Amino acid sequence: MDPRLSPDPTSLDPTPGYNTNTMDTSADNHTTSMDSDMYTDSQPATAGTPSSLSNVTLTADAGGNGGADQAGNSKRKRFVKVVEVDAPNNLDLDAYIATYKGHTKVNRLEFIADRCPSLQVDALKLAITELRNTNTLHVSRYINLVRKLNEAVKFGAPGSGTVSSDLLTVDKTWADNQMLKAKQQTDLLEGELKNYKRNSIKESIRMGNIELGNHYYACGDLTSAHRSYSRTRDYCTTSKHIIELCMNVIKASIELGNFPHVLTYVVKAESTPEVAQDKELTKAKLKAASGLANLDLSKYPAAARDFLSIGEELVGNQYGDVISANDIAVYGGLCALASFNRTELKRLVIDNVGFRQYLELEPHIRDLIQGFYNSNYALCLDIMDKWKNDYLLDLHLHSHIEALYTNIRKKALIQFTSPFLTVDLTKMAKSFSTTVPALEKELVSLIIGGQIEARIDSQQKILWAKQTNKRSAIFDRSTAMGQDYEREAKALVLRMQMMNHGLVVKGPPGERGGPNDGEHAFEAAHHPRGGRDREMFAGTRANVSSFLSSFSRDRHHR
Amino acid sequence: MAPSDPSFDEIISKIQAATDITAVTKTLAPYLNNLNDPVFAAQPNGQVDPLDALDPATHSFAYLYFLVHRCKASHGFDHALLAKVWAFVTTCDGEQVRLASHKAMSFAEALVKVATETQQPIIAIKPLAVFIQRLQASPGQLTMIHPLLAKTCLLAQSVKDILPILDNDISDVKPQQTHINYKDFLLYHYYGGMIYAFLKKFERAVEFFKLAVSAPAEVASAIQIEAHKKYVLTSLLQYGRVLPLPKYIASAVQRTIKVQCVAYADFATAYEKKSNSAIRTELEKAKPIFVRDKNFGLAKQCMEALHRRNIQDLTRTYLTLSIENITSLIGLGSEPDGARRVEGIIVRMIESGVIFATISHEHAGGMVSFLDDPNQHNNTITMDMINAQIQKATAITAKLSAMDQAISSMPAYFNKQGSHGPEHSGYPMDESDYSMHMGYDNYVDEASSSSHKKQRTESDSGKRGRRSR
Repeated sequence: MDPRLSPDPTSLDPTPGYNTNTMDTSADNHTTSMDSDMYTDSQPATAGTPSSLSNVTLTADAGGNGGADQAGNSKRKRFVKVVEVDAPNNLDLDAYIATYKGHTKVNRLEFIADRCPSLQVDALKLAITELRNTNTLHVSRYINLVRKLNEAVKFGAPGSGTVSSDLLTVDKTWADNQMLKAKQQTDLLEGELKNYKRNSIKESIRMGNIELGNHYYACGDLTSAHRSYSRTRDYCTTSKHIIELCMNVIKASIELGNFPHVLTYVVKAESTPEVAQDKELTKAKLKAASGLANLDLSKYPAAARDFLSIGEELVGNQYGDVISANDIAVYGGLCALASFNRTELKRLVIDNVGFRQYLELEPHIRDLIQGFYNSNYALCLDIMDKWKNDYLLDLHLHSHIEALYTNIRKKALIQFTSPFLTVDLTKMAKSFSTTVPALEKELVSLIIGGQIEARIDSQQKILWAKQTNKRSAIFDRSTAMGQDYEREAKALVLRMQMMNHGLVVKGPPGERGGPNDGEHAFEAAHHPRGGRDREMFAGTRANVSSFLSSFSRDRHHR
Repeated sequence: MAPSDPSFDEIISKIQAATDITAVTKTLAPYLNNLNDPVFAAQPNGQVDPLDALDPATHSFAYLYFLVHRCKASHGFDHALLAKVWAFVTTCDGEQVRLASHKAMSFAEALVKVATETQQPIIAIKPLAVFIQRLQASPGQLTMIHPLLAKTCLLAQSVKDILPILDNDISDVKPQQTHINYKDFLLYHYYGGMIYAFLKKFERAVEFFKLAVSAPAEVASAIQIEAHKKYVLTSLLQYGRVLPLPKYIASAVQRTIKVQCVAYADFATAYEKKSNSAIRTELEKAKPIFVRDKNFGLAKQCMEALHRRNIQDLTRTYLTLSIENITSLIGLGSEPDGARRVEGIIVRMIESGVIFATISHEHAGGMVSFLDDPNQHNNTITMDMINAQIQKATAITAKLSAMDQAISSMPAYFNKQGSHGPEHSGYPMDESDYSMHMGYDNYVDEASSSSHKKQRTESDSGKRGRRSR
C-alpha cells in the first residue's frame, strides 16, 4: 500500500492553501508561548534524522491546533473536494511561479504541493527558499512548510533524493531572530500608533495603521492586517488615501478569501475621483481584483467582462502579488468562452487589443478561442483536455474548472447544432470525441433546458431542428390566456359579492385564530357592513383595479 | 304560538286565499309560522289530504310546510309521497319557496334521510337537482341545498344529475335571498371538487378547491385546509406543479396552511422536480398523513400521472424512440412489466389526444414516432372558439368594471376615505369639506387619478389595519 494514502494530514486537509494561514494567525497573534512550544517540540526532528518519530508527533500537534479553523474554513469555501492531480501536462513550475511575488507565490506553491504528488517536493523547496530569501516574518509558516517537506521525503515523494539537508531542518537561530523581530516590530508599531492617537494627528494615525497593517500582513496575520487597514478609513482625507485604503483591504481580503468584501471595496475605489498618478494601473488592478471576486462567486460573465477590460497595464506582472498576466489570459479566456455567444466573443475578446497582449502569453488559450470562434470544436476540446490538469492546480481556478468546462461544452454543442436543419449524431459525436448515447444525453438536457430547439430521432440517430409553428403556438397561448382570464375574473366577481354580503369565514367571538367553523355567518349576513368588512371591501377594490390593469402583463410572458 | 289550533279547513281556506306573492309574505307567512308543528304533521283522518287540496304550483309556500312534515314522518319507500315530492319540485314557484328557505332546507334534509334509509340515494338526488333549479333566482346562484346535494351525490357515487349544476359556475351569492352562510360556500366547492376529482376532471376540481381555499376569511376554516390539501394533489395531477393561489388569499388561511400542510408541500416540491426516486421516498414519508387525510388515492394517481407527464416531455425532445428506451427514461426500467405498461400508457394517451404519435412494431420491442399537433388552427372551429372566448372575456370585464365603478361611487367607500384623511394629513380640516373635495376630485378626473386613488386606498387600509390592532 502506498504510504501516502495512509494518514497523511496534507491530503486529508480540505483547504490546505487557506488552512495554514488561519492556523498560523491564531498562533502568531495571541499565543506566542504556544508558538515557541511548537518550536521546541520540533527540536529533535531538526537535530536528528528527518523522519524521526517526534516529527509525527509534531504533525499531530499542528493538526490539533488548526482543527477549529479548518472547520470554519471549509464552511466558507463551497468547494472543499480535494482533487489530486497526477502530473500537469504543460506546467513548468519555475517559470510559472516566477511571475508571482509576495504571499501568493508561497500560497500557490503550497497549493500545488498539496495537490500534486509529483511536484510536491519541488514546490515545497521553492516555497521554503522563497520564505528564506525574503526574510519572512511569518515564521510558523516556514516551520510548517519544513515539516511538510520532511513528510514528503519520508513517504518517498518523487524528487526526494535531491533535497539538501539544510532545507529539511529548521534554522533555529534564524527563526528565533525573525520571531523576535516580529514581536519587537509589533510592539514598536503599536506603541507608535498609541502615541499618534494621543496626539490626534489624523495623517499620522492613518500612516501608523497602515504600517501596522503591513507588518501584520508580513507576519501572515491577515485578519489583524485587514482590521488595521480598515481602521484607516476614518482618517482618509484625499481620494488618494481612499484608493490606498481600498487597495490594501482588497489585498488582504483576497488572501483571506473574503471575496464579497473585495467587490465592495472595488466599487468604492472605482467611485472615488481618480488621482493623476498610476491612474490606469490602479484601474487595471481593480478590474483584476473584481474579476477574481466574480470568478470566486461563480459569476462567470461578470468575471469575463472584468478580465477583458483590464487593458494593457498588467502585461508585465505588475500585480504579481495577486495575479499574473498569464492568469489574466487564462481566467479571462475561459470565463469568456463559458459565458459569451459568438458575436460577443468576436467583439469583446478577439477584437480586444488590450486582451490580445495577454493571449500572446498563453498561445493555447488564443488557439482555443480562435478554434471555438471558427467552430473547430474537436481542437477546442483537445486543448481543454490537455490543460485541465494545469488548471486544477491553480489557486483560484481549480474549483471552477468543472463548471467552466461544462458551460463551454454546452455552448459548443449549441453552436454546432444552430445552423443545421438536421444533424447526424454519429458525425457530431465524432467531432465532440464522445459516444452517441452520451451525446444524446447531453443534447436531451439542452433541449429540455430550452437551449436547443430540436428533436432527436433516436432510431436513425438524427437531430432535427424543431419547426415551431408560431401561428399555432400563438393560438394555443391565447386560448389558454383567455380561459385563465375568464376564470380569474369570475372568481374575482364572486369574491366581491361574498365580501359585499359578508360571507366571510369568521371565528366565534372572543376566540381568535385556529380553524373553526362557528355558526356565525348568519350574524355576518345580517350585518354586512362591520368595521373590518369595509376594510376588506376597499382591499377588494384594489384587487379589481390591479387585475384589470395588469392581467396580461403579470402572466403569460412565458 | 297560537292559543288554540285552528281547524283544518280554516287553514286551507286561509292558504287558498293568499294567491299572490305579497299576500303570502304579508299574511300567510306569519300565520303559518305561528301554527304548531302537529297541525302540519296531522294525518288526514277521513278528511281530504291537504297535499291534494293544495296546488303545488300556486300554493308552493304552504305546500312546502305540509310536505316537510310528511317527509320527516315517512319511513321507507312511499310511492305516493314521492310522486307528490316530484310534482312539487317540478312545478313549485321558486319565489314562494325562497321565502321559506329554512323549510326548504328541512325538506331537502328529510328527503336525504328517506333516501339513506331506503338505500336509494337517487330518491333524493333527482328531485333535489330539479328543486335547486327551481329555487335559484338566477342560474348561478348558490343555495343551501347545493352542499347537501353535492354531499349526497358524493356518498352515493352517483354524479350524473349534479353535473349540470356543478358545470354552471356559481356567480351569485345572496344570503338575503337564500340564507346561505360561508360554510355552504366552502362545503359546496369542497364536495364539488371531490366529485370532479372522482370523475378525473382535475382541471375543474382544481378550480373548485381553489375557490374554497381563497374564499375571504378572517380565520382559517378546517374546510379550507382540507380543500388546500386536495388542491395541492389535484393541481399536481393536472399541471405537474402547484398552481399559485391568488394573491388575495386570506393571510390567516395562508399561515394555517403553512403549518398544517407541511407533508403536502414537501411532496409537491419533490414532485415538481420530477425525480422518480425522490418522489417515491417523499410519498412513503407522507403516506401515514395522506392515508389519515384520505388523500392517498389521489397521491397514488399523481404517481401514475408522473409517467404520463414524463412521456409528454419526451415528445418535445424526441421524434422517434423505442419503447424500451422510453421505459428506462421515465424510470420504469427496473420493473418487470415496464415495457408493456408503458405501451399501454402511450396508447391511452394517444387515444385521449394528449399526445400525437404512432407506434410501429416493425422493429423488435416497438418504436414510437411522436408527431406534431395536427391542429393547425386554420379552421372555423378555432375561429368560433376564439370568438366565443373574446365575447365571454368582454362580458366579464364589463361586469368587473361596472362593479369597480359601483364601489368607487359608493357612499361607504367615500366615507372611509374621507373620514380617515384628515387625521393622517394632520390638517384640521372639516370632515365634510374634505370628503366633498375628494368626491369632486374623483368625479372630475376619474381616469387620471385612478392609479393615485388606488395607492391611497392601499395605504389607507394598511394604516387602518395597524390601528385596529
